[in-house]
Amino acid sequence: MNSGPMLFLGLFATMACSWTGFVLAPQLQLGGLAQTNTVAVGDALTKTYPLPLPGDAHAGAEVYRANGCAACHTQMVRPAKLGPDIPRNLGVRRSLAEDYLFEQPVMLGSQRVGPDLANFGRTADTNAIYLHLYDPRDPRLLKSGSVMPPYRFLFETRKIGFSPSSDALMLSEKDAPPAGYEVVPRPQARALAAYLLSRRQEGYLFEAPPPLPPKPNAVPTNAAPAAATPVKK
Amino acid sequence: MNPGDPNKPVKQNGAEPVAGRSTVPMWLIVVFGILFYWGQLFLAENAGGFNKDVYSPFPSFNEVALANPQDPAAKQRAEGRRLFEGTCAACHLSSGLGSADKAPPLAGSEWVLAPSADRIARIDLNGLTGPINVKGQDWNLTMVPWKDNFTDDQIASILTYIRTQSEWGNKAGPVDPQIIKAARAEAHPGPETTDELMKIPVQ
Repeated sequence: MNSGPMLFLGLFATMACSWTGFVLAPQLQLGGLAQTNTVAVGDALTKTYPLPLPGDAHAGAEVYRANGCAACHTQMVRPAKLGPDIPRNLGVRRSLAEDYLFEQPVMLGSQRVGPDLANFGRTADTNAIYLHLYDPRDPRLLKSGSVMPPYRFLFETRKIGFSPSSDALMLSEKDAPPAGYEVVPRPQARALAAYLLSRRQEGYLFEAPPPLPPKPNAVPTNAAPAAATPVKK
Repeated sequence: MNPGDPNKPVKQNGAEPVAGRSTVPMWLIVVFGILFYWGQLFLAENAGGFNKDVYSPFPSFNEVALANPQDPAAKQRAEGRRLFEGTCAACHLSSGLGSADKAPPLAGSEWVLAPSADRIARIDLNGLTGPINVKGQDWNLTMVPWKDNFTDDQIASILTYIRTQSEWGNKAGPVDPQIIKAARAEAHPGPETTDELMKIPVQ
């Protein structure tokens, strides 16, 4: 062990390089990230983006996290050169650092066993979310079937009181509770639905501006000499 | 079988091992040199100058800036609309139609659509009190001054927005911040009145 100091210095330099690259540099680059304004398209108003999650959606983020949703669902629209997410209408633009400004922790996910949820709130519907959580293989939801496990513990089967609840699930025949009973979402299911409805990476930002309309008078630069050639005598 | 058993024979390991020294092979240095060079080339090509505003597919900040809407008039209108919706629309309404007990209309108002913005610039800066005739209707209200709340550029943006708001049918020209600057320099005490405003030429 006559090279102890050299070994220490080598290890220290290696760790210091990693720390600089993976911790310090991103902090210097994005540490000051703040709310910004969306790019105005036409006469539309610019909006402050992003906004903090509302309270129920914030509680829903914990339900999402606790049930491991991020193991099968990503929340990131890939840039055009890494995959056809935008043509598949998963988002109007790629995901940016701003999209995750108020996420703690950021639940990007890494595998798409289920669909990407970055913009799920644009098209989602609360009742469909409840049904999908209660029985992902409800024949009315997806024709191709779903591999998602059911999350029935987020719901309560209870006796109908004076009248049925307004938010009781409209279950298919195979899932229907016994007569006189109804299935209603527990608070966790409500929070999770609110969180899923808040999944919207909307608005163009400076870093990902709206696609420019093609210029009507644009002439390819190499077209002019070609057109001039026949005129030559 | 505890290690301190005096009857257990002590195994002799010899002297403490020592690490030797040898030179790094030249080919390894060359390989690392090439890898480092390739890494630098890759960063120069794809890192976007390590700017936080540069994402693929843009190679540099200038390209991002160029891809954003360039029209300065559109930017001024967008900023004006943002400020208008946040402040002015409380009384004049988003529709520009005004409200009976708060503010006269801006849509189609001859004050707003005058050839120059000199009069509305002073209304906006200094406020307005007393009777005023807008679109053939008499109003008698008070508008507060906004000169301490907005810069010249911001007031010019707001006035440009209300003068060019085509949804209201307003089709006047944009407003130069210099007009606001000149009007602000006059240091008018208290709110404007119709009589004072009529002395200001708008041609």
